[in-house]
Parts: sequence; C-alpha cells; structure tokens
Amino acid sequence: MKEAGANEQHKSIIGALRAAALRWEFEQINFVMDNCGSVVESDFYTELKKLDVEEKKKDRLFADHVTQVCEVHNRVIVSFLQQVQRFVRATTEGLRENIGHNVDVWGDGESNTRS
Amino acid sequence: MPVWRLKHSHINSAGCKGMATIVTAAHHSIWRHLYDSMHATQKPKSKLKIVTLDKEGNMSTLWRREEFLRICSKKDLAEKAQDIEGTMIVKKSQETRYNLDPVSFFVNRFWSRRPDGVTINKALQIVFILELK
Repeated sequence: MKEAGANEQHKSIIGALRAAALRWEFEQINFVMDNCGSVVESDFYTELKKLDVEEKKKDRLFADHVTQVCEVHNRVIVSFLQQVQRFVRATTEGLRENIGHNVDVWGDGESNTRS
Repeated sequence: MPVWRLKHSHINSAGCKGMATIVTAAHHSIWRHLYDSMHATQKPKSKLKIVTLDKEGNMSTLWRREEFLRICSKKDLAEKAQDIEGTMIVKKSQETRYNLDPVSFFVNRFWSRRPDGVTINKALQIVFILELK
C-alpha cells in the first residue's frame, strides 16, 4: 500500500516537475525498509552520499537508523499482538493459534515473535 | 475456532484498519529521526538544503516558497500536473469530488500530495524528493 502510494506520488510529482522545469533535475530518493524492519546497507549509503552526508558519520547514522527501525517495528508488532490477544482471550482462552509466517500468539497471555 | 492467516506485510500496512494509526505513527517516527540525523550530519560546505516540512506541508505549501517558485511558476506546474494526474486512477473514495469538477480534482490532488522530504540544490539545480517506504 505504502509502496503503491509512493510510486504514484513519484509519477505525479517528478513527472510534473520534469515537464514544467526543463533546466532542473528531479529525482526521488527512496529509503526502503522491508516488512521485518531490515535496511540494505549499500542502498542506504548510496542515498546518503547523494544527500551530502559526511562520510565519517554515515556508519553511525546507519546504526542509529537501524536501531530506530527495529524499536519502532517492535512497537508495531507488540501493538498487533495486544489487539489479537484481546480477541483470542475472549474466544479461545488458552489455545494457541498461528497468525502468519512469523508470528505465533498464545491466548493465555504469552506472546512471541520469531524470524 | 478462528484461523489466522496474516503476513508481516499486512501487519505493517496502514491499509489494515486496526493498525493504521500505529503504522502511520511508526513511519513518522522513523522518518523524523532519519531526517534530523541527515540534517545534522551534512557536509558543512554542502549547497544542498534539506527543507523542513511541517505537518501541513504539501506541494501547495512548498510552492509558496520563493526558492521553489524560482524553479517554475505555480501556474506552469499546475498545468503539467493536471496532464499527469489525469492519466492516474481515481479511487472509489475520490469519485464524488472527481464528478463535481474533474479538472479541479486533478489539480487539487497534485497540490495535496505530501512528499516525506525535499532537498534543493540551487547551485546545481537539482531537487530530490525523499520517501521512506
């Protein structure tokens, strides 16, 4: 959904700008995270270079970014599990259900994620 | 007994009604952190300016700024945007507004687009539109 939106936005904004201002260059830079929160280091560094980030600071910036992504991703998963557990407790107390590729939920209050 | 079949991509999607608020907040949180970090670690002599976008920031508010009006006029950009927006799908949720006035709809949809970030290098005449996906 986010990707489709970003692609549409790219087509509209970059397309219109390129047509309206022929002497300027326009480019979309995408910082991509996958659904499990991973970031491709080489891609990330390529984008940072375009944005004139100091070379000696890029490793630290990357580490901070990945930490931030993981923490926020964890909050999203916890929120999801809390919502599911509320439902599971109400319907199948004590039963364990698989809810996707990587996430299991226990109806008795325990939760776990594995990748 | 319920059978759950949900993928990570669904959990992480703002398209999932139950997760929309937290996923959107997560996106903003990561982006704000990255944007501020890039701002703080730019080369001192860089001519590239990272534009601060506030919560209401969109293409319309960007094109009120002098530096963007120098790239092209709002009128020229609206004309080109209308042509491109006209080739793109009108979502079900947008049909009522579209049916009222198709031309205004396309132009307004363009001006309301919100890039995550924008940088401008006046010396090299380059604009980067930034997205976190």
